[in-house]
Amino acid sequence: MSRRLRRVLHILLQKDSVEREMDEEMRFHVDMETEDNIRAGMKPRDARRAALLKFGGLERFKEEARTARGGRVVGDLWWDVRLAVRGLRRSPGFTAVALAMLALGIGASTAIFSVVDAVLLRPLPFHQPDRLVQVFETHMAQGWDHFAFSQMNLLDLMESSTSFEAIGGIRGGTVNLTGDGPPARIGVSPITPNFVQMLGVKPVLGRAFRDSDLDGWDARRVVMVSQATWTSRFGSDPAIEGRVILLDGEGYEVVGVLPEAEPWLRNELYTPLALNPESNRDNHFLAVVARLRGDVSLQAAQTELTPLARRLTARNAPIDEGMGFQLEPSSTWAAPDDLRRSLWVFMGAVGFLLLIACLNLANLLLARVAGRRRQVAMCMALGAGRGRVIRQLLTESAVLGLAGAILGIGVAQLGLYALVALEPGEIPRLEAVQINGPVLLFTLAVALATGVIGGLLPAVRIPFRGLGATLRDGGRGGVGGRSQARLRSWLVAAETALSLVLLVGAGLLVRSLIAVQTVDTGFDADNRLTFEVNLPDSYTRAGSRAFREEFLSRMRTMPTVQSAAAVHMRPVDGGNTVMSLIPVGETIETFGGAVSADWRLISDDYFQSLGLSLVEGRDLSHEIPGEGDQGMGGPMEVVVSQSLAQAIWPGESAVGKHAQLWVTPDRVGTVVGVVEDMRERGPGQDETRAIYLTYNLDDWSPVHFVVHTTGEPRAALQPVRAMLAQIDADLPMSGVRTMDEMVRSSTASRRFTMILLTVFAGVALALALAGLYGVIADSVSQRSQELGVRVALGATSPDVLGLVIRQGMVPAGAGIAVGLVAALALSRVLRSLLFGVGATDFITYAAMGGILALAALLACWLPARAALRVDPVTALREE
Amino acid sequence: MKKAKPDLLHGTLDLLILQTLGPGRMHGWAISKHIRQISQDVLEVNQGSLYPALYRLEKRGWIEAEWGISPAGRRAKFYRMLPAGRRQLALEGRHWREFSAAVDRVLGVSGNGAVEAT
Repeated sequence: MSRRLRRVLHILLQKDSVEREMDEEMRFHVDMETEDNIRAGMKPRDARRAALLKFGGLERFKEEARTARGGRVVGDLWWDVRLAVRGLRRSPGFTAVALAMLALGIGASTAIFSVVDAVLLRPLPFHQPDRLVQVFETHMAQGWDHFAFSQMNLLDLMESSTSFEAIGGIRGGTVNLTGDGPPARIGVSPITPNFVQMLGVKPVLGRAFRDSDLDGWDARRVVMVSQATWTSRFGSDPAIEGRVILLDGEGYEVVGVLPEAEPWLRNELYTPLALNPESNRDNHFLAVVARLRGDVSLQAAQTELTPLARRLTARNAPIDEGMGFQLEPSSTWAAPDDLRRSLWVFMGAVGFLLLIACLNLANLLLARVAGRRRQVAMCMALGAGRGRVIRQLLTESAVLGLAGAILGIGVAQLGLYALVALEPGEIPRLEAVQINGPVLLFTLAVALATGVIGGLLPAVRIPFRGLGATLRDGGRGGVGGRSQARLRSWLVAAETALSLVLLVGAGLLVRSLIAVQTVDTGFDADNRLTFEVNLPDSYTRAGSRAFREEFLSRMRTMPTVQSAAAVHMRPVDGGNTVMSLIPVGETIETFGGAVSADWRLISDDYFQSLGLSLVEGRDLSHEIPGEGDQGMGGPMEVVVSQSLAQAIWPGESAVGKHAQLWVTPDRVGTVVGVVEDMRERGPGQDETRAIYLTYNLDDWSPVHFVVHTTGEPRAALQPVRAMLAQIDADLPMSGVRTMDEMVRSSTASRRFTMILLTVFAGVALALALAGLYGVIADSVSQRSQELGVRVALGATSPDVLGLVIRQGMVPAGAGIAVGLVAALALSRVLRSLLFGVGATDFITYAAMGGILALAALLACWLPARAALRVDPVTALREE
Repeated sequence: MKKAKPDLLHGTLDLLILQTLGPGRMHGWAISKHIRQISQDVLEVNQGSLYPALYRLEKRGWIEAEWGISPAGRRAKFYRMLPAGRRQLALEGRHWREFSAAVDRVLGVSGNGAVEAT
């Protein structure tokens, strides 16, 4: 045993000396034979030639001797690879086509996988992230299953629940930063003081917040700065700790620098959030994150929360009627649901693409093996075993796979550049996506799998017959045989089916995008400039009103401005405020549940500025009715949208009706007008029920402005900016967008998904058609004699053409049928990405099936024409 | 044309090599020449079979190889039988004789003619 082990080691480690010994032994043999021949009377030169002839090819015997020695895996592999490379170089056309296909398939999957790896698979930047959960309020009567928390409910949850080690809240906001360069409006996230510690994120510099930071708030305010802001705004100042910055005119002491930690810590500044136990329970704006205690499972915590929510709602009725709490594991944080779904759809699509490339490779290799049957038979006649031949063929396809991977990495890099350029900014960290270690491993595995799977089928299909049989019946050039042709047809059918699934998916997305782009949004987006102005706390309700009136009246004097208006949240931008309401004189019970509506504070001319018309009644008077000014706490005038009017007062005129806003008896809204509906949240969303109040009720900041211009809206920007500076030089203007831009960017991620899937489907189609073309072209060249005989016997051109085309269209047709069924089953995963079209949309399926059938017909017809050029005389003579 | 020679039955080459190496060490060419001469040119050992067979036997531990100097004064690789090979020779020799006797009985050969090779 040890002798044998030593021998194997000796052979493995000293390949060269073993080779030399073998050479020497063989040479010795030939020399001895030569001398023998000379002694028998031959001339020296003849003697040597005879000896060599008798011995046969030296290399061949060395190879056989090598096999017999065994223990030569490494050496043999190298030998196989050398043979494979030599074989591939001898047929550059085949190699180029195969490599191009593999590079596309592997490149596309590598690019998408690198994004999936970076966005979905990388661990969250928190301590033990699997113990973290997000908590939502649910109000199922209104259909809200992921609702923001009110401060009161968060306080209740902190007090009553036992499942959590820590519970924290975070909200979003903005402040005006002054004193460091020109005034800027930057993002700030108030967080509960325990928030950073709960996540397990370490500050880069300084410390996280403490509960004591909230004591004596007016005397000493503190702030944390994000690492990015520290770098960009404060030049990575190492002495930032203790520095005081001006936010909305107040001094804040910087206590620390926080690293970015998606998805929670990605704002510019953080301030400690004090939860107000006196606050309005109806005001929901907090995101709540919690860390599960010890070994409490998410299910156990959920079980605790359900009765707890019921107890709370019983106590606080009628507010929060029917409220529940819903836990979501942190695994959902890596990316929003839509994005995650899109990414997996992309991953599935490139998987299909890769499979098609794999089948195509098998197809090409089959054709190649058919042409090499005599070579294989010769090898076997010379003593190569079946296993040896299969190994050689697999090595060849594995070498192809690896070379394809190297090219594919290049393709993937280019693909990533294209992705970064095309992607509308929905995918976090996309610029940072790299082809790194794990991705390279993935590529390597994919390449080897593709090569081996693609090569296995042809390898085991080799006709292992003796040299004689092959040479006898292959005399006219080695036809692949019937079963070979049938196998290739099956491969083409599978490719057709796979590409049809992708085509249907892409078709559905194209139809959705067209639907989104042609949908009537209700508002008019042409020539509308919008921007925000953030007002610091020093602007009280009166100050805010005075500012708006002054600014609007100045803008309206400009000749290029047709109308201008203010709103507390502009359409399509993503922000929203929601209230629930019931008619006066009803309760939630008697009315059968409250109706929810998006509410907006607006100035005069708002409807006009958006191109909305009043259907009934009049616009708001912007006066506050009732005795004494109670702001949003008392009676108000409202304008409602048509759909809201329908929902509350079906079949009646809403004008003059009264509603309890926020389901509060004191807050009575009197309907003075009804306005057209619009798709407030953008063209890809449904029309929303809306209720409009006068901005004069509140000091809501930031204020959004919508300016309807004559001609190019951005041309008005400079003069408008100057007017703003004249009113208050410390007010920053931010978020400058035209309505057109906002509408376009609201469909950008839809367009991106559509483009990507269409590209994949196009490549898949091209690959499948190339496979079909190849099969028909080979078949025509192999059947030329048969076709010649048919022509000689009187077959007409259409007969011959039909014969050949049928051979291609039968598998293509089968592929289309299977593909349609598979698409019906798989298109379900696209449902949430669709708009205005069903996942089983007949037109899309019919169109894509038709396109594929026509393309397949073309791919058959082009090579089939060669069959018409067969000269029966030549064909028969060859026979 | 030379007279067609019968193919060696599978497995018999090993037997022939072991038998040839019985008396002492020998290099590859000498083994092939010895078999040819002893069989009076009937059995021709194809070099393509000889060396793989030698390596195979070496791997099985029946013979061993060493480099030495040939009678003509050249470096050559010599093969020598190992005890395991001797046992194998005895075993296979007996099998062969049984086999050959059985074939003779089937053909009813009484020594009056050569067996036609197929």
